Amino acid sequence: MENIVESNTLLNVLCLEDDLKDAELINEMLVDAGYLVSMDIAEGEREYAEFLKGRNYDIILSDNSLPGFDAFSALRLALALKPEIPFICVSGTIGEEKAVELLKHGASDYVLKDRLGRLAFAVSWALEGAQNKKEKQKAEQELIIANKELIFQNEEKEKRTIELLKALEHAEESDHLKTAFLHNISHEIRTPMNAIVGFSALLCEPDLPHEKYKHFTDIIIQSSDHLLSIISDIISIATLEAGQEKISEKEIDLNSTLKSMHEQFLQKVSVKTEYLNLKCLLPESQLSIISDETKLVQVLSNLIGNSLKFTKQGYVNFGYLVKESVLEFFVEDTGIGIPPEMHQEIFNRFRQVDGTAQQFGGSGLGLSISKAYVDLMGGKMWLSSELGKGSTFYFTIPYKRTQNIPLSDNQSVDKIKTEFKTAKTLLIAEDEDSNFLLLEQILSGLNINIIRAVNGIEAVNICKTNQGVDLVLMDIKMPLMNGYEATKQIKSFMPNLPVIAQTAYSTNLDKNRALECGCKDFISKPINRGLLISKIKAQLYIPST
Amino acid sequence: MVELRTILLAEDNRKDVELTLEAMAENNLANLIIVVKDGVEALEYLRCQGKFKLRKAGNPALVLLDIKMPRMDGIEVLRNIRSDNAFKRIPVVVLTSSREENDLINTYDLGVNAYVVKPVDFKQFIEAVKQIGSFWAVLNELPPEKSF
Repeated sequence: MENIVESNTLLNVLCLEDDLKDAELINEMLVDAGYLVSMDIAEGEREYAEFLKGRNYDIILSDNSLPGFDAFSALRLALALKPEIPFICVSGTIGEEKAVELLKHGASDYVLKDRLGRLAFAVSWALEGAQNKKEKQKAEQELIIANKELIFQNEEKEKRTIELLKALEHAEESDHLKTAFLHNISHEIRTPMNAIVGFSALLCEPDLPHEKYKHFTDIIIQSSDHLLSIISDIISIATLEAGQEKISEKEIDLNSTLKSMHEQFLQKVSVKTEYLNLKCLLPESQLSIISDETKLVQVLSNLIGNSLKFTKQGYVNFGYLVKESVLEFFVEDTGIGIPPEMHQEIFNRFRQVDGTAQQFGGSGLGLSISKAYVDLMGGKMWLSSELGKGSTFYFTIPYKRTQNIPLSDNQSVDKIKTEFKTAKTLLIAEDEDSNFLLLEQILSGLNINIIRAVNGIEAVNICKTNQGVDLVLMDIKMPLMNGYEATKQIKSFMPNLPVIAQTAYSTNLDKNRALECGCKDFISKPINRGLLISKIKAQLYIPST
Repeated sequence: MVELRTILLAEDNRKDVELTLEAMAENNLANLIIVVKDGVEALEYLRCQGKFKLRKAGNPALVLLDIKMPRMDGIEVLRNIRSDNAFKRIPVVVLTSSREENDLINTYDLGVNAYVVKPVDFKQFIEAVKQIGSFWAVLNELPPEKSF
């Protein structure tokens, strides 16, 4: 039996036939022809429909003359329900004409009952035809899928082409802007260079009157400063472009930073005090924040500089507000204003409002650098402006407060700047002259004797030979021996001598490492004056009030 | 009632099969005609193999053999029939469109009982098959079965 199944000749037949003898004969013919026949015999319409719905057949063999039903109806039903099954009319009564009509309607074949010898052959042809049709449909289906795939690939290619075209456009645009930039920069550099070269040559004139000499020198110095600022802008752009610009956050006293900026601008632009106003809107005790002071100052300076440049009447205000987790800075002026279509454009590199470069100068880099810095610091920059009435530039930075509330430089220094009643001796380990001079300056007038060591080894030796040292201010990064090692050694023989680490390394990790080495406290550079004094006093057990 | 023995028709051309069946029917030959499409199927039928494994035993009254067929040609089928004791006496009539001398010689050498070239004309073809049918299935006396 296994072989029969393997030989694949199982034939599922639906036979519509009310004469069971005829059905039996049909069955026999097929068996004789080598088919393994499984036949359902339907004697009427209802049975036929049920069989048709219930099972899948290989072939339908239909009589034509049934009570209330004929081959045409049977064919119609078959085509509606199972169009893939071949349909053969097996009839004794159907005439040639009707049979041909049936073929036109979709029947595969017809076999006359008195020519039943043809049946097996007709069945084999019908099956073959159905198989071919199936394969054709499958091939067509595959073709459709392949076609869809091709269309999809084509679309992808088109998309890619559009992307490439866009990229090309962008590159061309960028190229165009770079050319414009070079052109601009070239002009910007040549202007001060022209003054420097020209007036330097004039200085060589013999018999030059003194006031002219003074005037020319001023022009040269001014032009040099201008040139320098252009060069630093270009360097900033290059660094930003190379992705090299990093944020270095430190503890800063915001109010004093802004105040010193205010003072600098007042001197620089020599304007009336009421012309440039600083508006600090936070109580000073909360103003110690963590941020990148250099960049913050650079951004603000640029905005203030711009505002002053474009404001001939009225005022320029700057300051900040606290808005939830951010500090919102503003620089407000009553200058010429910026047309609305330029509000976004102006932050792009080399973009200035048309005509302003000629009238007011500038490289067109300041705002784009400022915006890039604000982005780096984790903030946003935008503006509101009305032509002829003025502009306000805003930017935010994250509001990161320090944990301990430091004493402010300006407010509390007077209180703590009281002399020590007995003279104290301080060892300052610091390899940089300028840093040492600054510390010396900060601590002057407090009745403090200062001894300096320029590296770790010297610091250790001084502590060994000079028993009178009351406190050590220890730099960390020094030649020969660093501050960590020096502190450890000093602590080994003078465990009670307080050491305060002072360093430009400002992360918590650095702080913890210093404390692990035996430092009592830690202060980061740049040194806040009030904070340093209060820390020193705390270590020397003198209350700051 | 003596059961009519079958006629085995080995022919790959559908039209020729239809014409042959039509001619046999017109001749009122009630013999069951088994149609196979190539030489391999023809031998399977004779040997009750493959899809003919379950068929009623017994040799056909006549084998009508085309020469050009796929898988195995008529000459090879004839060679197999004649070299097998069970089938060697079955009357074999070659019905072909080939007039080639080689085919004639080969088939006669192999012991074919008749060689008929298919007439191109439809009516003549019917007539030829009718004659073959009435001669081989009616007039001709068959050898007794199972007497080899």
